[in-house]
Amino acid sequence: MSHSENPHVELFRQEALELLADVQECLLLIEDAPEDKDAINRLFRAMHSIKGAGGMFGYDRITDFTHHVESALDQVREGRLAISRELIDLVLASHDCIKEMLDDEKSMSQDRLQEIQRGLESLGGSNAIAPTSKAAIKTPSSGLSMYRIRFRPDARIFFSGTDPMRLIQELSEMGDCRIVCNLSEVPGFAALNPELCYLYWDIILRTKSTLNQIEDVFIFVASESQIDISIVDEEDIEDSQYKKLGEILVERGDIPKENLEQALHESETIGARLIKKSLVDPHKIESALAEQEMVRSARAKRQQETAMASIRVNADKLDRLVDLVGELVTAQARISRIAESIRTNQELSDVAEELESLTTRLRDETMGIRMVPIGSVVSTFRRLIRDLAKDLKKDIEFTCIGEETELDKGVIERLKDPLVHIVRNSTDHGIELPEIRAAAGKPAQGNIRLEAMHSGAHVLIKITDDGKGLDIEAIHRKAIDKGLVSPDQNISENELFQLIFAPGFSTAEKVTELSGRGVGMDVVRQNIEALRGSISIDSAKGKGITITLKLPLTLAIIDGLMVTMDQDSFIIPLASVEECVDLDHQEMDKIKGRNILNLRGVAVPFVRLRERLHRTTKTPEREQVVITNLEGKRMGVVVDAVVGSHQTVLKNLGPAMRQARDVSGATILGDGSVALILDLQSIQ
Amino acid sequence: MADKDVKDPEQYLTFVLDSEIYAVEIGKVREVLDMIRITHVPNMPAFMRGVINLRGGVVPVIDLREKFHLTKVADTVTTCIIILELFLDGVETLVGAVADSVREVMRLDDLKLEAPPRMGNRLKTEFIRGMINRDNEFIIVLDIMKVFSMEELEALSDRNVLAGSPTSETVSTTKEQLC
Repeated sequence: MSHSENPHVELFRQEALELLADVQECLLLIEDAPEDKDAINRLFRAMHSIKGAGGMFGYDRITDFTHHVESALDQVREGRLAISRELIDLVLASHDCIKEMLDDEKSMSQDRLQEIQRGLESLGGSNAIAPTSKAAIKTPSSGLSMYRIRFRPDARIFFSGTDPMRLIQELSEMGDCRIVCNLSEVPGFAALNPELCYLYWDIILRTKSTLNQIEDVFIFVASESQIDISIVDEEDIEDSQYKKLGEILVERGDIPKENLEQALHESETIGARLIKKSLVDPHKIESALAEQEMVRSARAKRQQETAMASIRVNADKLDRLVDLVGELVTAQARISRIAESIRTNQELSDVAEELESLTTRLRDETMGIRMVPIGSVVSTFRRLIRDLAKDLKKDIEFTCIGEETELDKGVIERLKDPLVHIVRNSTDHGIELPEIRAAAGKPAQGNIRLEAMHSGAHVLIKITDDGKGLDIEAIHRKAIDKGLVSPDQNISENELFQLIFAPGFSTAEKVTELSGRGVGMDVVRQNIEALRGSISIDSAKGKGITITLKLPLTLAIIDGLMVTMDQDSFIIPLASVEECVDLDHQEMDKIKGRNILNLRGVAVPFVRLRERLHRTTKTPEREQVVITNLEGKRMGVVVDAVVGSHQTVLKNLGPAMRQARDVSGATILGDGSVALILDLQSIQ
Repeated sequence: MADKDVKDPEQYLTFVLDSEIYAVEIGKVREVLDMIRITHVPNMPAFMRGVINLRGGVVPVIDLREKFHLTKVADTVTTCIIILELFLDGVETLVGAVADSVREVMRLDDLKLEAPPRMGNRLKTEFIRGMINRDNEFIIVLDIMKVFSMEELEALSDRNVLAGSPTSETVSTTKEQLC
């Protein structure tokens, strides 16, 4: 059946695929933490949506099949069916079937579907949990509850050495907290005994903590003090109208119902009227108002969260938006430049300044929209490792730290393949079989860890496994065989590891025995470098391996250092710049054209940009050196002058300039001229 | 450019290069710019003058005199950049071409596009789509896709690249010794 002509059907397919991804992620979460009610609910909802939408678009077999899966999940949700390995396997298998059917519904074998169905049904018989336990599983949802606490300490509380402030402080650390202090019982100055506590507090607390945990705060003062705690608003409560001020006061017992009703017949706001009539003390009104506001804002926030969760935008539109913002940044730089040259016009300067700040914010927001958490890619790894480990009869645990770390959408998309490659290598060649691990004194279960973190304008991704690691001697031998190093050459461990990335090195026939590293690490490196990132490797034989990827946050705009040479401007990526120093011409005489710079006692090689770019103009009296650092290799670039940092909108040079070397792109400067971005990798 | 008539293949933009008149299909011409500052891109063939900023886009510029191996001259007030819309590697790309001056947009009407003579041409025959004889003035109609094919853009790079590099080295070493 071909559905592709209908755009609605295509939309459904996309959505179903996203839901399936969610299904898979939930399943793997549940496998690790069976008590995760959130994930179970999410899983059920996703299956339910697939079923519903499938029916609408004529995917009858999907609907039919999904119905059975949904029923099983419904039992799980209601606590009538326990989560087991078999259940997870079956639902994962259904996930695969549904995915296949989305592409081609007809050719799916009925036997396969029925097998899963039967499996699910038989689970329903054997793993069913007695209905009594249902209540136990249905704990209050993991969400937030709102408590109303009135804490009226005993007047002599200070004598026991307790400071009520401490307790209130403790409460406020438990969550979102509104505190109103009631002063109505404070006597006049003459009668005031400074050793007594006249105050009491109304506290509205929105927290994940339970009632017991809140009571525990008051455990030492509970006997003397008056403490009332009640639940005002729970996530589960249907969002009806929040309570009126009068209702809150009556509920708290601050005012009898009759007085309230009497007051309601008059026309001012209820609070003002009650105070005027001295029916209730102003602090109590204030406190009740605080509660009302907090409930209101909490609900509003919740509604907002649900509304925000579902905005779907075509990725192309985002790309166009980023292009436009890039142009806007360039145009704004021109305005700023003009405003600076016409200093007399204050209004223009003001507008230019405002425009600059707006553009910067717009740019950051736009880039922010394109940011995607790396978790979106990682979830596919869980499945990959799980399945691969099962096939290879290995026991592997996959942990991920920093899933929420965000990267540009474009970077993430192009990062997926290299990451899959690395993770697959670790699973396939890195982690040993359980018996071998046990024999080597390691835990039978192997571990693959993915860590993502921000580091300046970069994101670091570390993939670590505790497998057999790299055999440094074998690599050395291989390198000698291949003529990459000479036998008597002194080569560092790190340099040997880098050889793994050399084209043709790792693709050699005996690679698995040799290194435990798979094929095509050179391709991985190329992919990473195409993203203007870098890759490094660290390993100890028998202990495992760590691969670190360093990637730029975005591909569209970078921080650059603007330099000039021969009246042209150039941009050096700021991330690679260490420092700028003057070129000492006297020093140059001493070294006699050997192009080595003495930087505080350290020899740093340098390149004259003028020579490198074949400019025939004369070298100026004064020159500056930009000290760059590329993966630990330092290099000076001699330029005429360093101008300063520059927000650089990256532009491609296009196919006509494909053979350009030493430059990786161009950018438009504030004056409308074009500056080239230097490619340090190629210059080095 | 929305006007259908303008896209008419029978219309040509004529321009001058080394006192000869050339023509390109008007449909390929986006616009004509006065000479502006061109940023030189290193290590490119000599006919690649560099890149310019065209309303926020980076556009490569080719010197047609260099490309056709005509004598070099300094830019004059009439020197201009013809912005052409081409397909390179299947991607629509803008490319600038430097000419001595532009003349006019002409219609072919009853004039005839004749086959180029086999002899006496200063440029490759495949670059020429045909000749127009108008009042005893010969106009060379270029096959612009051939002139700016990827092969052409890359072919000459090896021969012309790095011209002038020895001189720059001599200059800087003498400079160093002076300091």
